[in-house]
Amino acid sequence: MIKVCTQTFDHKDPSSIQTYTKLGGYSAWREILNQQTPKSQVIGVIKDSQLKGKGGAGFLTGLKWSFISPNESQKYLVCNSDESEPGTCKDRDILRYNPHSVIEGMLIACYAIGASVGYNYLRGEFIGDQWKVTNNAIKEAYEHNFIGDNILGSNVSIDIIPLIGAGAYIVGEETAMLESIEGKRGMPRIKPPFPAVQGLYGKPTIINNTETIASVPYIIKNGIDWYKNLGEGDAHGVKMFCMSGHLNKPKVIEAPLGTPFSKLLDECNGILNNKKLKAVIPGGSSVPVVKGEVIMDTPMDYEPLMKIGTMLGSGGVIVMDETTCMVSVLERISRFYYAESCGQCTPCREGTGWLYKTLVKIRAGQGNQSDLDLLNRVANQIEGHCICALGDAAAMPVKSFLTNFWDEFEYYVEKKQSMII
Amino acid sequence: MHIYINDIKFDVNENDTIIQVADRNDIHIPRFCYHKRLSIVASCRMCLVDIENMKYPQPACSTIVKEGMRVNTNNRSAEEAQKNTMEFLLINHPLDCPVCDQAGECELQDVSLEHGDYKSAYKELKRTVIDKNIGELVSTEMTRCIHCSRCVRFGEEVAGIKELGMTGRGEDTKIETFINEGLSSQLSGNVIDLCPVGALNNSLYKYSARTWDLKQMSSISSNDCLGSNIFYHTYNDEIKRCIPKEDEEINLSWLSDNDRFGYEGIKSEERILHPLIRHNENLEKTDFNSLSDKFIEYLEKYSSGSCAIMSAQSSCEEMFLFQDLLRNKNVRKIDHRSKECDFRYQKNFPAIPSFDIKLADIQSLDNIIIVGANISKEFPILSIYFRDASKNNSTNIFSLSTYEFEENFPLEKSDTLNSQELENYFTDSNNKSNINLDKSKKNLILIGPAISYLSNYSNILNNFSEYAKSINANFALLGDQANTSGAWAMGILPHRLPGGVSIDDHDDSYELLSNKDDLLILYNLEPEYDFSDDNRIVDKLKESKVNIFFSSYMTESIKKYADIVFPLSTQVESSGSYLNTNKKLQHYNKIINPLGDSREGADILLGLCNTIGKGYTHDSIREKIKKILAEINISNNYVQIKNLMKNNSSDYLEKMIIRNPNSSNPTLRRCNSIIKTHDNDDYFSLPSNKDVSSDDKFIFNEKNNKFKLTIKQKTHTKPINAVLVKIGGTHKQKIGAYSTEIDL
Repeated sequence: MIKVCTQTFDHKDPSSIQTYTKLGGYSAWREILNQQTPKSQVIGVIKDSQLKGKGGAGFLTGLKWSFISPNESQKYLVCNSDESEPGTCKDRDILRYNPHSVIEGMLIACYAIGASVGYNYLRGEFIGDQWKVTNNAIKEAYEHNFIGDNILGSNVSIDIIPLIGAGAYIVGEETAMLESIEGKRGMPRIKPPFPAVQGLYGKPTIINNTETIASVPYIIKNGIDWYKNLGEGDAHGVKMFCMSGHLNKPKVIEAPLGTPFSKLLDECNGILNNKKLKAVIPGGSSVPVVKGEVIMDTPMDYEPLMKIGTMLGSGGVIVMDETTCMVSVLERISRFYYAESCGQCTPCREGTGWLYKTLVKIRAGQGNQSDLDLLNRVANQIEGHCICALGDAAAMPVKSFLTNFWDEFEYYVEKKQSMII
Repeated sequence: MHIYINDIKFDVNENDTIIQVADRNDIHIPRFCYHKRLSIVASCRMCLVDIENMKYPQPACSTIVKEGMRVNTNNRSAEEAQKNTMEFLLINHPLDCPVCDQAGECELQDVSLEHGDYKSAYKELKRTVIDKNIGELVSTEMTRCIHCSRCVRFGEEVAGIKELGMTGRGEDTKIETFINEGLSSQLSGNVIDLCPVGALNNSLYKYSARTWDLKQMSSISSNDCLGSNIFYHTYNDEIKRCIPKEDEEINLSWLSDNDRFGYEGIKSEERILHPLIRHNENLEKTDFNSLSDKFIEYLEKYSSGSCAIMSAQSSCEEMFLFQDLLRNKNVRKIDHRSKECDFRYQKNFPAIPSFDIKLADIQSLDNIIIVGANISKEFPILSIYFRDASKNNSTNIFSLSTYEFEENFPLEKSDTLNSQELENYFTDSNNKSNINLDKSKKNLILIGPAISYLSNYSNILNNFSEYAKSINANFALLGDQANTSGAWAMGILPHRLPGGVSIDDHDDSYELLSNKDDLLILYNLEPEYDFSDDNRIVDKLKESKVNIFFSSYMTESIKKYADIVFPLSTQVESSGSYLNTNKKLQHYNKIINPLGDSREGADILLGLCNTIGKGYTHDSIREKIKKILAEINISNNYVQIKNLMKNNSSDYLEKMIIRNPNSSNPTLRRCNSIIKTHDNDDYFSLPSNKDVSSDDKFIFNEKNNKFKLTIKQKTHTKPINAVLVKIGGTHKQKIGAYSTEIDL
């Protein structure tokens, strides 16, 4: 299988700068500095490679970079390593096993957008391995003068600063992350103004996901066509899929975009105990759930998944077999959003609690038919009415679970017990 | 540019938000988190409106208008969205309106009635929040909070001190203080008005009336020289609370705590309720007529041997009548400057000392030098303008003072100096000031009232005027009391008549308290608090043959020395007018009837004037005041004094150099909640006329407690003259050049 961000994973001492440089690491960065590649050219390459944001939204990275206001002298880059979406664990591995690709990616991104400082914001739970490895890698890169003043004798000076969060899911939202970096309470800002115009400390800022950033050096090194052709079928590029749930061998797989779901399933040696596949959440807990039979032959790419009513999201593929009670899964998912709502805007603060409490009631056998309608109504009242996407993220699972598994929910409120025994 | 709201076309400006356009044109959009003077967070989602070609409704408060935008505030989509938000808000809001003080003026109640549903589908448990004590002034019921965050933003953006904040997240989000301490900002009471529900309440008002029973009357604040516009709410001839009256020239939507809660003192037990006259050893009740006769008799007997000191807290009407009465009886020694001790400046002083810049124009200044004023404590409303200026623009603010303090706006530079150093700040070549202001910029030098207490006040005025002239700076003088400007204009002075007309034969070496007088008249002044030297005023009370007091409150020295006491009503029980520091004459009306037999000062004085055949009426006095002010010759505020000697009374220690804004008038002194709030700041002063050496110890007698002050270390020859003591244990506090330790 093809390896981009996972290139160092199988090597001895994968996180060291020696391993990374041995595999051609930092050559893209050297090249840019030597050639004094125009910034617009770097952005052009990323744009043409069709690299899309891997954090969930799937926005074209190069296009995002090109939005940065050229007039301001002070700009910032933020690498979003606050990977908290349930079911997602790809950045965790990149930061652990290939930290230098993130650093090199950040340097190239800083160069392209004209930022002199890049922040790498790690989620609070990464205080163990990832935090140490990241810090160590940055230290190594400073020692080799890949970061710092007058990098490798050029007139380019860039600083990379690692930060660690305190464990709030919402800080993964880009503007909440900016607030958190500024030392404030992590709460999303209203947009517009967008960060590319007014971001960190009021200056133009680009925020990219760790996997996106880590892909950048490889694209610069190997070219546009190389990356585009990595995809299968109509798709371009690769994506890391975090296969979890009822699988014989759950793991993180880097696979071409457009790989059919069934192929990913095979990679994981199939469903646990050879049970029947029931449902899949293909992009982290906030995307709509789909039935197993629907997704089986669907290529794992942005558009095909859209067509079947779900999203690629962060690539956190949660696989559920026939023994799964969908009511209890939804209750657990709702509890997460209830606990992680920042409390700023009303629909999310009050609505997520309402959803969760109603589901607890149903699970306790005290629900009735009208509670199912209520769930749908409350989810609709939240969706699209909030400052950030957390409200939508809480509403979408509720709506999709109800649509796809209505009979199971109906059974639960009627019989006061789960359909699955 | 234009947009359509509900199919009506409106002209709009480029950066308007929808809610601004709607508010201007009286189109109602419900809102909670939006406040016109605070930043926009768009978090309550109550103002969602439908915009053509948008999938979801958008918040009107944060959506900027676009050419041709079609907005609907009341179609199905908008109404649905508003109803839904309302339903969410009521999930956790207790429906305890019958016992909530906010009921009747509650924004949640109003919006719920208009946009909400009559029933809720929510059947689960509601959240409850345990209240924290956040001080004497603001009481809390945080279960009612709807998290609009206006109070939090007010602290950050307007008051400049982040005392309230959000903790917890999701449904557990709480508004509370980060540390277990009460609010200390002088503007803290404003969160009560900002709170759209009954979460933050007025402690004094709590459970004492229902909002719909209240009568609203406008008035003017008496606690500082800005004259904030206020509304008193009364019920049964009793003041229940005080709220700001919107005023774009002065207090905007805000009010200082002193203004809001200061009326509490009017019900003090110390109020004098009857005219009193001394019989043998005691003060006994009498009637106004016999008191007036006695007073006129004394005036005629002692005439030029009298000294009359009036508080600058009095109204212009009282001032005019007071000086008119006394001057008719040949009393020459009339003054209002009871806290001052250096009068050499007086002939050169402007007719009306003032702050000649419109408050809204402070923003346009480039540099401001504040001399001797802790703006955020003494003039909280002014501090809002200063904060705005330094925040939004490039206004640099410098502060020079005789003691250390904090401001709620950023200072470019702050210096603590003793009075001699201050005097020479810009003249002494050895003393590099480090402040170099550009002559071509807009500069302001602001002299705070505490400077007037210094014994080298004249020198400071002269030197700073000279510097101000050299850099083309505007020179402003902030008044010590509500009507200081009025006192100068109305001739409560030994050397000037009303309208600033000089009296030619006035003695240059004037000292207020030095000579012995036969008759002493103190108007609305308390010897314990209001004089530069309280030993000297007591001596004077002892020396004089007759002491006449006009006062609202009984004090120890009045009990001991008064021969006649006229019971004055307080400001809220009187009508009158104040001339504020911007030279704006503001009239206020009687809010409640005077307590007991006390009477409005203007009534008493008018009666006295008419007994000597003046034939004044209240209307004629008002007209006279208007005429005087219209004819007054206004010049700039520069005070330049020829042949001014250096004041060489060195090594002196003076009283009351720290100006305590919470004690600036008799009513405020008796406001318990304010006293408790600022309990930790107690103001003491060193004894006068004493040389200090490094090993000196001073014993203070204050409220029967003894305080010992030890000066540990001596690094300068001249000390700064006052000390701010925090009660409770031993404290180390820098007093200018000295480091001291105070055992309590």
